[in-house]
Amino acid sequence: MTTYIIRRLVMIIPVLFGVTLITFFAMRVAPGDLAQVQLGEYATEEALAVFREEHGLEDPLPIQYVRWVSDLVQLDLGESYRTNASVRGEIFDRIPVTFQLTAFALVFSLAIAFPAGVISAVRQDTFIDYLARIFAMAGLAIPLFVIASLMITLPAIWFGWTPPIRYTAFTDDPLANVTHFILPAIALGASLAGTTTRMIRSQLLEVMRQDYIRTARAKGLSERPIVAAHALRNAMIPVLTVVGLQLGVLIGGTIIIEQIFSLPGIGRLLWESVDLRDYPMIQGVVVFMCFVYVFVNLCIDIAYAWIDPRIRYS
Amino acid sequence: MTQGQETATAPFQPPAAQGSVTGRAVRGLLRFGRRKPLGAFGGLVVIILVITAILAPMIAPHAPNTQSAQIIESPSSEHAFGTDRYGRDVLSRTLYGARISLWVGIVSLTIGVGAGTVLALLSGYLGGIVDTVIQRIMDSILAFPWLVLALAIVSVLGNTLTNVMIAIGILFVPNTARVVRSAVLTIREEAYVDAARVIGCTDWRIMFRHILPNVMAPIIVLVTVGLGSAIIVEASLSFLGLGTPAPAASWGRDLAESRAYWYNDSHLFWPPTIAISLAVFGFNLLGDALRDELDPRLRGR
Repeated sequence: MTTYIIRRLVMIIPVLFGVTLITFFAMRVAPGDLAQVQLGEYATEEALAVFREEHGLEDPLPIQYVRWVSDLVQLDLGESYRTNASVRGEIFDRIPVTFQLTAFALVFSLAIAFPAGVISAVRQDTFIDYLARIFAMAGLAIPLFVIASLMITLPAIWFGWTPPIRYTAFTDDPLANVTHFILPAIALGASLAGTTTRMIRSQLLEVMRQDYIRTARAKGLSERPIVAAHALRNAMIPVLTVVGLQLGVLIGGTIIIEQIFSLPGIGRLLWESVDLRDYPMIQGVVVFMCFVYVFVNLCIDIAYAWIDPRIRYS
Repeated sequence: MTQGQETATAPFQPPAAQGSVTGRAVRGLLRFGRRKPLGAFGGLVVIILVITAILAPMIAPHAPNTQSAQIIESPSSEHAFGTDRYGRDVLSRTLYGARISLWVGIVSLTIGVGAGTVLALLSGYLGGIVDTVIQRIMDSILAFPWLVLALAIVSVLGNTLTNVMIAIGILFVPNTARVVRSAVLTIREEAYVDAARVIGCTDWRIMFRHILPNVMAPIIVLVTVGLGSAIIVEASLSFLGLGTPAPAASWGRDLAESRAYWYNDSHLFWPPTIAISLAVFGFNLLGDALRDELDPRLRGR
C-alpha cells in the first residue's frame, strides 16, 4: 500500500509542474506590455519603470518563473497588481464560501444519483427508469447558468417570490447561511447528479450480469441484499472515478454560480481578477484550483486502492 | 486524401454494398432511426439547428443588430418574441444565435480535435520520448477545470471571436489526444502498416494516409459529443461577459444582458434559454447514439 501511495505521489509531480509551467507562460503571452496593461496607456515612462522594477518584470522570463515557483513551494503566491493584497490571503478568505457551495452540491447530487441510479438499474426499462434517465439527461444538457437563471426567474414569474441572492456568513446567522446555499448548490450539482445517475445505472447493470450475482441468486438470497451487498459495492469504483473527474466541472461551475448568486467565493475572485487583468491573482487562483482538483483525485485513487486490493498490485 | 481512400477501397467492395450511394445512406439512416429513436430525434434537432443557421438571413424577420422598434416591446405580430433593451428583434437574434453557436462550435472543434489528432498520431505512432512528452503535457492540461482554463485563456488573449474559438478548442485537445492515441496504438500493429513501411512509405505518409482514415470512428464521436459541450462553453463564457463579443447574437450573452428584465419581461428570458438547452440536448442525444453505434464494445448493451 505504501509503495502504491508513493508511486501515485511521484506521478502527480510532473502534472503539477506542467500546471505551473502552462499557467505562468500562458499569462506572459498576453498581448501588450504587462505594466502598460496595468497602468493604462497614459502612464509615464517612469511609472512603468517603477512598476516593472517593483514586480520583477525586468528579469528574463525563466528567472521570473523560477522565482514564482520557489515562492509557490513556500506557499507564497505573490501580491495582487491592483490592491497589493496577498493572493494567498484573498484565496484563504474565500475558501469557506466555495467549499460550502461545492460540498453542498456534491451531497445534493449524490443524494439524488444513488437512489435514482439504483432504482433505474433494478427496474430497467420501466416507466420509472425512463423518468430517471430523462431527468439525468436534462441535468446534463441544460447548461449550469440556465438552470441557475430558471431557479431565480421561475419563482418570480409564477409566485412573485424572489429567492434570496446574498451571502450571509455562517457565524452571523447559521440558518440564513444554510438556506441561502441551497438553491446555488442544487444548480451546481444538477449536472453531476445527471452524470452520476447514468454511471451508477450502467455500472450496476454491468455488474448484475456477473457470475457471482447468479451464484448469490442461486443460493437463495433475495434481491435486496444482492443489490446492496454484492452488486453496488463492486459498481462503485468507476462511479467514484467519474465523481472525482466531474469535480472539475463543479470547480469551474462555481465561477458561474457565485456570479449569479452573488457569493464571495474563489470562482468570483477569479472572474473579478480576469475582469481587472490582475495577473498574479489569476495565476494564483488558477494554480490553486488545479492543485485542489489534482489532490482530490489523488485521494480518490488512494481510497479505492485501499478498498480494492486488485488495483494496489496491478 | 478522400480520393486516395476511394481508390484503395474500391476493388474490395462486397457485393451487398452495391447500389446507389444515396440509397445506401437512406437505408443506413432508417436503420439508425429504428435502433436509436432518441439519437434520431437528436439528429433531427441538429438538422433543424443547421438549417436555421444557414437560412437565418432569409427567415429572420429583422436584422439582428439594428434597432427595429421601441425598446423592451412585448411580443406582437411584428415582433413575435418582442424586442430587447436596444429595440432589436428577439426572434431574429435567437435565429442568428444558432449561427454563432454552430460556427464557434465547428471552428473550435476543428482546431481542438485537429490538433489533438495530430498529437495523437505523433504520440501513438512514433512512441518513445515524443509519446512521453506529449502525454505528460496532456495530463497537465487535463488538471485544469474546463471553465477555469477557458476563462484564463480568454483573459490572456482578449475576448475576440477568434480567441474564444481557440480557448474552447484547446479544451478538446487532451481528450482527443488520449482517445485517438489508443486507437492509433492498435492500428499501428496491423499488417498493412508494416506493408506500407516495407514499400518505403515515409512515417508522415503512413500516419496520415494509412492510420488516420482507420481511426475516424472515435474522431467522429468526439466531434459530435464535443459540439454540445462547445456550445455550452461558448454560452457560459458569453454569459460571464467573456465570450463572443457584442453585438453578435450569442444566446449566452443575450441571456446575461437581459438579466434585469427577466421578471417583468420573460419574453427576453425564454428564447435564448430554450434555444441553448435544445441545441445541447440534440447534440448530446445524437452523440450518445453515435457512440453506441460506432463503438463495438458497447454494441448490444
